[in-house]
Amino acid sequence: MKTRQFLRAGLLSVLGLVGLPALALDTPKERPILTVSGKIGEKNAGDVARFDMKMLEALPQHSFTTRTPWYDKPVKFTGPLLSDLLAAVKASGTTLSAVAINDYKISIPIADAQQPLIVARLLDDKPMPVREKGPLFVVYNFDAKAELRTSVFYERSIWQLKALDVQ
Amino acid sequence: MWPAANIARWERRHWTLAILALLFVTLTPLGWIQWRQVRLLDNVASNQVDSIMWQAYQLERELSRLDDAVHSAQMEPDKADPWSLAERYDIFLSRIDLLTKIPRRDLIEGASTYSGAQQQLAGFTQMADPLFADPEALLRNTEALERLDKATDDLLPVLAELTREANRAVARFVDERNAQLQQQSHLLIGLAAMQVVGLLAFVGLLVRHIRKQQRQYARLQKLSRDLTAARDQAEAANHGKSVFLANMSHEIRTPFQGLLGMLNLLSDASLTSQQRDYLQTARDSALHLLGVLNDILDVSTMESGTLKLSLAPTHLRTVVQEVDGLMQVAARDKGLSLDIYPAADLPEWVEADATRLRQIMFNLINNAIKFTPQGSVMVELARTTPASGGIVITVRDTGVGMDADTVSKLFTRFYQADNSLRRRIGGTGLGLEISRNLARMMGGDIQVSSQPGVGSVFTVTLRLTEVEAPDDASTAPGESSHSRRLRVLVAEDHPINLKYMSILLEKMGHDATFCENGQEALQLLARDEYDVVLLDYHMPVLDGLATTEAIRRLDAPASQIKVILVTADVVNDTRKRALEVGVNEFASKPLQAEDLQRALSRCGLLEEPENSVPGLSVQRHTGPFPLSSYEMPVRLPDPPEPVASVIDTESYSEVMAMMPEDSLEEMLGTLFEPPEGTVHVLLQALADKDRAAVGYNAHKLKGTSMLMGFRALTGISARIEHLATRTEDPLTADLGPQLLREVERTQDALRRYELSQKSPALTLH
Repeated sequence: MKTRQFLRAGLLSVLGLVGLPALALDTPKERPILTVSGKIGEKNAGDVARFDMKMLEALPQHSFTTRTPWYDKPVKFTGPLLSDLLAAVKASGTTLSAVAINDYKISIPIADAQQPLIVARLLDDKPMPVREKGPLFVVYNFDAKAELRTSVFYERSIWQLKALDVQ
Repeated sequence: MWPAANIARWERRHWTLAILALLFVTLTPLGWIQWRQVRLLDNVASNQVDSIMWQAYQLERELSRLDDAVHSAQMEPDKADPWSLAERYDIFLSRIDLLTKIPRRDLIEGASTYSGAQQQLAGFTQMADPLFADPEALLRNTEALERLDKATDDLLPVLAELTREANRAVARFVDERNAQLQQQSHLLIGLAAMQVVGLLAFVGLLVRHIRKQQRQYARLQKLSRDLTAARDQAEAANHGKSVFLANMSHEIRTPFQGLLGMLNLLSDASLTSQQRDYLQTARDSALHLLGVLNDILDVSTMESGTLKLSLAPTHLRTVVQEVDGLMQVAARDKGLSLDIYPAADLPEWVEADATRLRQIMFNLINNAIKFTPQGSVMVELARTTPASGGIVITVRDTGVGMDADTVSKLFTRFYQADNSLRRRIGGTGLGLEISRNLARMMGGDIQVSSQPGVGSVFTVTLRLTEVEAPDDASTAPGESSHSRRLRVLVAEDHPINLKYMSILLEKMGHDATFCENGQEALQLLARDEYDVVLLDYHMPVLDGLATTEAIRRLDAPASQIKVILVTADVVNDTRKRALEVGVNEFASKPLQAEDLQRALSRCGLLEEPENSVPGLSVQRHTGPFPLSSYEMPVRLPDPPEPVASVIDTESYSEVMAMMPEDSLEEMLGTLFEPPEGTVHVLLQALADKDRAAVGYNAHKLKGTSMLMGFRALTGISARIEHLATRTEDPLTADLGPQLLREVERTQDALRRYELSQKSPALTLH
């Protein structure tokens, strides 16, 4: 299992190196909503990489519908994969320290990104304002695996995300 | 609970059903409870039940932070960031949704605090939303800020109360869940207890069952031991009976042989035709009786397990010819045709007990003839197919046949196909049993198929090893002619026997040379050439076995001579020992023409044709043993009375009739003529107190006296022999005078008898 994970990680990094280097990271045209810092290879604002909603939209979009402890019915989440986002900044660490607008902080192992882990920007196909846990919501596909339905993964699902620090 | 008796009768499917039912009864509630627990845990996990408290607390906290932010804005509107103020408000709003829209809000939904708080929150947002729509304007509007500050201050205790309510709700929920778990645990314990009880009951039942089985097993074992003991007892008794029967048959047979011998001798005497007829009837009866006795002896020796096959290289065709020769007569007497067909590829020589092989064939063919009123009896001999070292003998008849029921009982003892037939045909009914036992001893068996009115087929399979022709088979049968004149050397110390044998051999057309003991026989053998030696088993100087051994040690060709042992002893042991030392054949005592003929032919010196000896009828007897031994019956004399009390006149007259006058004179001379006469030798031995010589000569005297019918002499000599050989008593001096007195009485009686014979009034007829 480990080996396979490594292989997949290796494949991802190769893709990151080969597929994307030509597109150097843009600079945000609008108000930045996400800051990525730490061990990253691509930066666009001094020592960090900043993203506005347009840049996140530009990444390949994924979506799934799942039940969560926070909504009384299944909801659809749409957004880029965390792995794509990390590849865009050529992240090379093992852990992400995620921070929310409400100052909530949590560590997410980068290995988690090997599964469909979305940085959601749409909820039921609608943008999320801050008052609806927006603008960004890191969310696991809880319905896909029983193992995900534990407090560890519920804790890692951070809403009102504003910054990621790669460690 | 089921009665234990039923359990014993349970079959596998009952047990399977019971176990399945037990498993179902115990596992189903268990499974159900487990499923409930899994559901409970899953619900708790996926719905984050306790998060309601956290959300309430977070909402309260965010309100505090919003309150702080509004305060700060009030204090220093210039420094405050309108957008972060608006963001604070948004975060607070997002917290409201988290509290009011999460799945487990039902925990506090019922509480009045919750609905109150909801109304107040709605009021607050209604008031605040327009204000925060333009945060920059809000910062400049002191009055609005104040209103906000007041509103948040009002809301704070409400939300604090809501937090406490959520805390209480969660606590209640946890209690409830604990209670549920506890209840389920109790249920589980109850079920487990039930299972334990059920299992214990089941185990108890099993233990009971096993105990019962053990008791039964013990009972069975005891029963089996008792039965074994009873069987052993019965077998011992049966064995004892068999041994007794064997002994008795032997005991009966012994004098019986004497009877037969005498009858044979009598038939050679000059008799009237009526006498001859009586004699023939007597002899037939005697032979029949002997056959019965032989059968019984066979069965009893088989049962006592002492019957042994004496295997020797056997020429199969000779055996077949013998059987053919003997049975043809019986078949012809009944007007049947008897055909025996030996297959061309039949083994020449086989390792077999010829006597027993012959007996099987006799029995089956005899039966076939018996039960076939008209038609034919056909016998075929062939190799077994596939050739596995054996032969098949098929006896086919066109007789009365049997139904299946009779066939199935055929081999049981004393069974005869038909009771009415039995009366008509006679026989012991032992023949088939004996034959089958013999066949089985030879590694084979007998099968029967039959159809009433059509006939029967008896099939004998025998496992006989094919062997090379023995070295001494140079004079193989077929080469010698029927009427071959043999040079016979006879070693026989008994004068009467000697005389008898000389007559017998002469009648059979052979040249006989006589000698008295083994030693003399050896000397004669070394000097002259003979075809066969007849040796008496008991002889002075060198007995039959010792002589045989000595003969086999001679130089060839004398050592190769055929030896026939003439013996009264039919015990297997003796025969075995005799065969070991090199005896070729046996003939029983007193010697009969047929026995001698058969012995000679078995030695390969003669064929055995049905009527090769003129004047000597061929005797048939079903027994496997040659008509065998006899010991002279010892009759002690009555008190002295004239002639008849001293001499058995009948016996004497028979002897007289049989022997030419000069032979009789000679024989009387061997008894009474001094100094060589047996009487005088015995007297001398008595005087010398030579115990061995006394015993030997007394025996000799007894034999001769008995044959001649000298009762008084028989009595005294028997007494002397008994004293000398069977006891340790001293040979008293009065024995000599007693013997002399008896001799005188005998001679006197003889004289008187001869006188009476000459007077016409006392003629025998």
